[in-house]
Amino acid sequence: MDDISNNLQVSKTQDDSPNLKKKKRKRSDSALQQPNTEFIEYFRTLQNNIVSDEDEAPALELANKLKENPSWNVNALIDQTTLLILASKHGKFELVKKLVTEFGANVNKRR
Amino acid sequence: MLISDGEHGKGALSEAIFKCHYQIAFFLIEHSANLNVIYNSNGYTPIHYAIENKHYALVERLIQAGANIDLKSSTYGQKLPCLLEFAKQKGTKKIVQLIKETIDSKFKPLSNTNSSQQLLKAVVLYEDSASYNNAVMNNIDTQDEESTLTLLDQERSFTWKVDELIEKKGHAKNSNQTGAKTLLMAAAEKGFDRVVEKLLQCKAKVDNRNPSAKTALHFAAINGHHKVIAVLLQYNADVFKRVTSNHFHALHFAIKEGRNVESVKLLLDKYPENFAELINTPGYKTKLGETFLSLAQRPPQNPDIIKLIELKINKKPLVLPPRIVTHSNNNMQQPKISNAHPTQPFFNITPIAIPTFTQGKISEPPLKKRRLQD
Repeated sequence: MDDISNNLQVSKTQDDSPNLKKKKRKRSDSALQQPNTEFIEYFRTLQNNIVSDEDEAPALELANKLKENPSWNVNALIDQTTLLILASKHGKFELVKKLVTEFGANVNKRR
Repeated sequence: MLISDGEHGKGALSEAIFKCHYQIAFFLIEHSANLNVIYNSNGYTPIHYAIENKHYALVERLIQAGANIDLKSSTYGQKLPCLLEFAKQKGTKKIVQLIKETIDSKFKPLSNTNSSQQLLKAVVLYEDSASYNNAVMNNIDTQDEESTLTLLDQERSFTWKVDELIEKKGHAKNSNQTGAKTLLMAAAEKGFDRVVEKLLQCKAKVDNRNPSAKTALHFAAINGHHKVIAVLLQYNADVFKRVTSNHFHALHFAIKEGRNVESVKLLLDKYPENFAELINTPGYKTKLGETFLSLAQRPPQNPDIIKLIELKINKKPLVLPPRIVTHSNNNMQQPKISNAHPTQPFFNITPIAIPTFTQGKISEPPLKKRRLQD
């Protein structure tokens, strides 16, 4: 407890350090945030759909599930890929559109 | 399961272009996808993929949206050629033309002169030292000092070999000036004193020699550029270096050239006090056995140069006595006093302001006429 208060005092003495700390914490939090098992299973199903199915309709239908689960991170990197990268790679235009416009997928997320 | 945020692989845009899903690519461009993101394994950006797939419309859209056409990646500079070269290798003629036109338009507002535009383009187009050196050399050849300085100020992403010897083919107007030269020699030959100084500041070696063992000082002396000589001497150029064919020092050339008294004076100043004892030694004579004095006495003589050598031999200050110039016009019988040789026009022989050096920059002192001396 004492250590924490000491750290806080140190950070207050520096001008930008509280903001920097906040930013750093945010980043590290999102990096450390493990997608839950449910989301991983969902990701795998959608991935299979994107990769194997020529028809986009089932993938689009499945994508709607993201609306029902706002805690799921649409930009999560799983096996070094995101849903948007997968959809772009496999030419699923409607899905790309949906992910970007409806779910705010990050177009600059990289592997 | 691997969850990673640190890898730098392809993004959605590069994947879409790579796999030829162009509708998606256009959509992502509209939605502010990063156009200059570099793929780690090959250094490609989205425009590289578009060129490789020979998709003109996409290349055009990427350029319109702000894709960087002169993107210089230090990591991939060695692996990847510049974009124009890449397009020549992998794209279509139409794409090459488009990139050329874009480079043209991009650099139009930067300069007023055509040659400067060409040079700025050269920096973008050529990312290797040799091509850059050739661009600078071509510019020196066009007698354009200002744009050469502009070019030298450009950022160079490659390791610049400033002392590279450059062979100019088909440039044999004067047998003395043929052969490979470094940029420093070329600038010294043209009399571009500011370019010479800039090159020296860029760590060009002042005493580098070309295949005939000429240094920049020789080139400056041959062409009578006393300002260049002053800069080179400021950077400790060696006045004793001799040319292989005739064993000439720079001073021999300056004496033989005979027009620029100031050059002779500057060089003569660097010779030791016991000049009189050394003048007849083999190290000071030409291959044909001529001394500085005998060379100066060859016709057409310049009495001022002979006088300077005599002053040096006699260990006296190198100050020429004033001369009396008579005008041919009968109405102007009154003699005028000058320290110049009578055969030369007055404006050529007024005292020349010797540049002074302060913190590596040349500043010209105001011209002052010499006082009458004995």
